[in-house]
Amino acid sequence: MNRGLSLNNLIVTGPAGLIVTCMDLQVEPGQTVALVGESGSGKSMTAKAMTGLLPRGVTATGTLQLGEVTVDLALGPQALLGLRGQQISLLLQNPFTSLSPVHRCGEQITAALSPELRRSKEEIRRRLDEVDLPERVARQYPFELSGGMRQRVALAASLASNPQILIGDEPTTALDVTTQREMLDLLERIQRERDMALLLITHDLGVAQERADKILVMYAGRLVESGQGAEVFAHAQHPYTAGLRDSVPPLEHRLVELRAIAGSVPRPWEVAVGCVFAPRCDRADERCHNEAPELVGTASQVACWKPITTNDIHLPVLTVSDVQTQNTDNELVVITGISKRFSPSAPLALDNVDISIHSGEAVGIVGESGSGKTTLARCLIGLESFDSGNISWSINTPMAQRAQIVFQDPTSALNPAMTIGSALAEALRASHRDKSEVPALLQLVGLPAEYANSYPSGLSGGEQQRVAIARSIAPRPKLLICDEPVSSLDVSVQAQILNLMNSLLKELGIALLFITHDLAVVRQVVSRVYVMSNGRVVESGTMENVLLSPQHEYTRQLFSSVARK
Amino acid sequence: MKLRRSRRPIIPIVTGIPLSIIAIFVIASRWIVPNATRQDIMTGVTSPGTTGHLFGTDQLGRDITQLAIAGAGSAVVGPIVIALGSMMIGILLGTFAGYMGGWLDLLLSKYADLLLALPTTLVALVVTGLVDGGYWVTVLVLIMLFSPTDIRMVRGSVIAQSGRPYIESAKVLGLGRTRIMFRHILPNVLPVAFSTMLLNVAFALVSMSALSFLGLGVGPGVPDWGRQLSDSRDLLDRNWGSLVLPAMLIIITAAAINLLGDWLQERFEERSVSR
Amino acid sequence: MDTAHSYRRLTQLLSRGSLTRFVIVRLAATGLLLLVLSFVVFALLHLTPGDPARNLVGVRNVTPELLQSIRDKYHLNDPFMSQYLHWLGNVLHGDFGESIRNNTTVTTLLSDRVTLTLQLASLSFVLTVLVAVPLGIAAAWRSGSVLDRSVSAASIVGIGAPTYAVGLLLLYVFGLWLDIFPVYGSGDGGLDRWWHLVLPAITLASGLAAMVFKLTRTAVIAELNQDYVAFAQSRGLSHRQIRSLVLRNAMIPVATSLGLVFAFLFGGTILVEVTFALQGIGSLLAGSVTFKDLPVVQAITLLTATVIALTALTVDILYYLVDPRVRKRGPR
Ligand SMILES: Nc1ncnc2c1ncn2[C@@H]1O[C@H](COP(=O)(O)OP(=O)(O)OP(=O)(O)O)[C@@H](O)[C@H]1O
Ligand code: SF4
Ligand SMILES: [Mg+2]
Repeated sequence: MNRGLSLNNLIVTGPAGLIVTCMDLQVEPGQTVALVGESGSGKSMTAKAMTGLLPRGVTATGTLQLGEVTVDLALGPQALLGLRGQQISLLLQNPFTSLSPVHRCGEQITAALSPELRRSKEEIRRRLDEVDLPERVARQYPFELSGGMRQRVALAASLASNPQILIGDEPTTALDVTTQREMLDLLERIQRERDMALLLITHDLGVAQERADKILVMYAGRLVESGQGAEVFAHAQHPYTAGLRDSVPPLEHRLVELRAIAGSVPRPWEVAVGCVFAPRCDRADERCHNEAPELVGTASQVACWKPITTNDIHLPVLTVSDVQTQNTDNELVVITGISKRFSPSAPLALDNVDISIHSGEAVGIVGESGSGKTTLARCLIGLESFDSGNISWSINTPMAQRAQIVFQDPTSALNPAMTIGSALAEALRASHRDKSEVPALLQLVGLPAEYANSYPSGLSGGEQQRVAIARSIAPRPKLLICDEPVSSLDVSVQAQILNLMNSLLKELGIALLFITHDLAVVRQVVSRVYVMSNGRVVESGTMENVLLSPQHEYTRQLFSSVARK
Repeated sequence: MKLRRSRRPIIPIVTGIPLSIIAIFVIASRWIVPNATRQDIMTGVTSPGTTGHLFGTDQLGRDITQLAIAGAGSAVVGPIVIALGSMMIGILLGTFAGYMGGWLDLLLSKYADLLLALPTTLVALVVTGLVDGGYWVTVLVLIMLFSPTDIRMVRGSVIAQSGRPYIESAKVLGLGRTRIMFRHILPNVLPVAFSTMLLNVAFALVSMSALSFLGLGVGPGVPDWGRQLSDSRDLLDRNWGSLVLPAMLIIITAAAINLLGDWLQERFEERSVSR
Repeated sequence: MDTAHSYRRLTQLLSRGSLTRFVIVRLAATGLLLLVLSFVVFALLHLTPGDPARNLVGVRNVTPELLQSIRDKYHLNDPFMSQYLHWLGNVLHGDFGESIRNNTTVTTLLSDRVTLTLQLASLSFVLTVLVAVPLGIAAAWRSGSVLDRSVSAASIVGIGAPTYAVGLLLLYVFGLWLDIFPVYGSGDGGLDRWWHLVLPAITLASGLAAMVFKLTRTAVIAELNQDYVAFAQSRGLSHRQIRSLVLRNAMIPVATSLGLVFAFLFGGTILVEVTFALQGIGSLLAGSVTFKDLPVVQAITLLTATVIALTALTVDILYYLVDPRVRKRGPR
């Protein structure tokens, strides 16, 4: 008997047009299939279509085979009644919103069980035990638990009716790196114990490579490539898969330049005729622009007219040594013993932090959420006050010309009511420079001069971040602070921005303070790094030294959770 | 998310028609119905349909229709002034309170708490009644009563704006407070303020006419919808037109403004989400 | 007595997030609010144009003796603060002075009228809740349906329409034209009284129901869009289970809004009582204001404020009991 899942010819249509086109996928019991792709590629919509959870105004056609049962998805959610939970279950990304805030965890885990089992203490204990949670959690409310624990509660709830197929839609994305790994291990163990089919949706290629038996790559609502595990990336046939792979910054070494894919991810329905990837593909020719390639192949499949073969010449990857000479007598700013507490009952957000940055030097701060990275940056730039300690600058210019900051979310970093041009002109004027420099500034960050007349809402996330960077270098600061500048961007766009930062550093000779939770990202930009945990600097040194021989327990933990997901 | 249900602008059209007719009445009533208040004791009360009197006449023989057209002015002008005035106070104090914080903020929020502890109708009735105020005193009292909610609203959205990264970027660029307030915060607060103001016009219209229904606000003899309604209670058995016309006018005007305000508010919210 | 123990007990009771502490803090705030309001209400006497003593004389013949006796009685020659404290002391004993218009104490006057207003208010409130909450839930559940769109449209008219205009129209249609309900007056007690209250209560409820409908609909739609609903569906929970999940969450904002509606209720009674010539507190207030019957105005204002403040307090405490987040973390 076949207990797996097979999805055939799924088409999802939204109010604006096609969202997912001709999607096929199979998952067998005990198998993990990863569905990867950048944001908006239709991963979640595929999962929602399979569970009958499509939002209003979005419809699906196609068939879904669950074990012995065949479901016509065009019939809507009704067709899946009795199957959801029992056969197929969906674990969502955000554990903070996927549980009802006013119901106890025990109640939510057992809601899908029969009334007798629902009351059984034994049953609840068994369920909690399966996801490594103590019994007391049953009586607690979700808000009393950490993110990782909530996601375990959600996992237990989705397994309540013993489904044969579990879809995890980015089940670990909202968690901290170290928790992510535990959660993935747990998923893997439960899958093995239950011999369950697992469809793992993720944008993290590392996770897919590490955990999946089979990987499917989606782009703009279409499947572009699929194959066995790590093979898909190692021997990528589709130019997009290869580009995606090359966009991911490696942890092991620093590259001269990441091989980014130009442009940004299109909306599925904006794709006209031809290959969806053609506008960004450097192999594209006449045919690519006129005819859409089909997904072909047996063991591995690819939708491309000119797939990359082993005979193709691989450009050599250029790495550089990231130990740079330090000019110790040329300190730009020195932070000594800064402490900060937000409220008397809260723990210290910053605990006696010492940091120094030299002129023209790129320094990184790494740590998990809540470790105090952002608070430190805000204190440095003057957006936050601190309780004790000292910040001393070696220059005497106005604050605006000492340091500027780039935030994580580019959308909210730009005033929606102002054109790009006037935002940049304002930044220039603020430091007594002329607004005629706007085109030059745009060019510096790789945007066409016409963008001066657009509003932020007309730009993609990556373009918005370029504008934000342009604005922050307008006053010619001596230090640029970047607080998670690429974490809300797609991998391919992230690579572009990282390249841009590196070239800006070289061109302008300014210092950089790069804050991130991602070791591999920071590796590509900085030469020296501080590791923060619970408001303290627990380790510091050159990038290479910290990676090769981490001294502090926390650094090792961080490092291992990144290295193996 | 760039998804927007295609929506025909049906609401502006549906509400625009009655509102423009009312606007014409307000502006041009002195030419359309120059003799609205002329009394004709001989005629007395007549029922709707009497020759020359579509909705009949009242005890003093005044034509109900003409009176209602003439009454549009006092029904609408005061509320517009109230909404404008209270929003001006709201923007002025709300922006300062939101952006500066401190004792002003505390004082204003306590003032709002105090006023919200009592129904507007009650406070308006007591204050205007006790001071024997005329039309404009009533307007002033209502401005005072409406402003706390506007202050709160503006303060809330100013605070929401000030926390956003683009305001912080502006601070880091070294821009002055005034510039940040006027160039960055206000333009993003004004759309919401405008739709709130519209809703306030409707609310003020109802409050003003309620007060004149209770015999306060407009002076005797001045044409006014609320006054007409109050008078109509004694004529109900003889002329239903004296009730129906002003009542419908008030209801339609208030509903149209409400609809438009709601629609605008939704649009603005949608825009701020999709941005 | 072990003081250390009782101290520990006390700190425990008052610890962050404990119910006792919550109630004490909210009670203190309510008390303070009412104290400030009482001061403002008292000051009305002096803010009203004219000599307070003359204002208190009313239509009686003004003689120097009468003025003097009134000054003595109300301590008008004392300093302002001591006048206020005197007045407040009396008020706390239920003594609001004497009505100027009717020669009775304010307290008697009010106790004759208060029943009717309470009956009217409670009838409207019950009507509102029974109609608006279920409709709001149904409309949210099928948002975009004919039901939703027609009730939503009606609610916009309901919110905008002035109470008294609606009242008069209902009065004309059902009272005069169709002759189903009595037109004016409060009836002669018992069932007849309630029969007289039907139209006024519907009038008052129409505006409130529109408001409550909108709030309920918004609250339920907001909950329906939450992830936990999708998650519950994906786990195969029954329709009934999901509804109870959603309603339990939506109940919190809905209950809060019902508390706020109370303030509007008491504003609305004034107009409805005047429209239908009902002998309640609201029409008494309207009459007393025109007549400058200050003691009555003061008493009614203060009473209304007290009722509204106590309702708000009750709602807050309920909120605290219903929402585990508030309960564990302490008040917002
Ligand atoms: N409620 C909706 N109605 C219509 N279209 C939607 C809706 N939600 C999302 N979409 C569109 O569907 C497309 C696919 O979205 P989907 O959420 O499946 O992407 P994803 O691959 O899961 O991305 P992410 O990595 O960001 O989660 C997007 O272009 C999006 O704009
Ligand atoms: S089909 Fe052409 S455009 Fe598309 S990925 Fe292949 S080579 Fe590039
Ligand atoms: Mg997704």
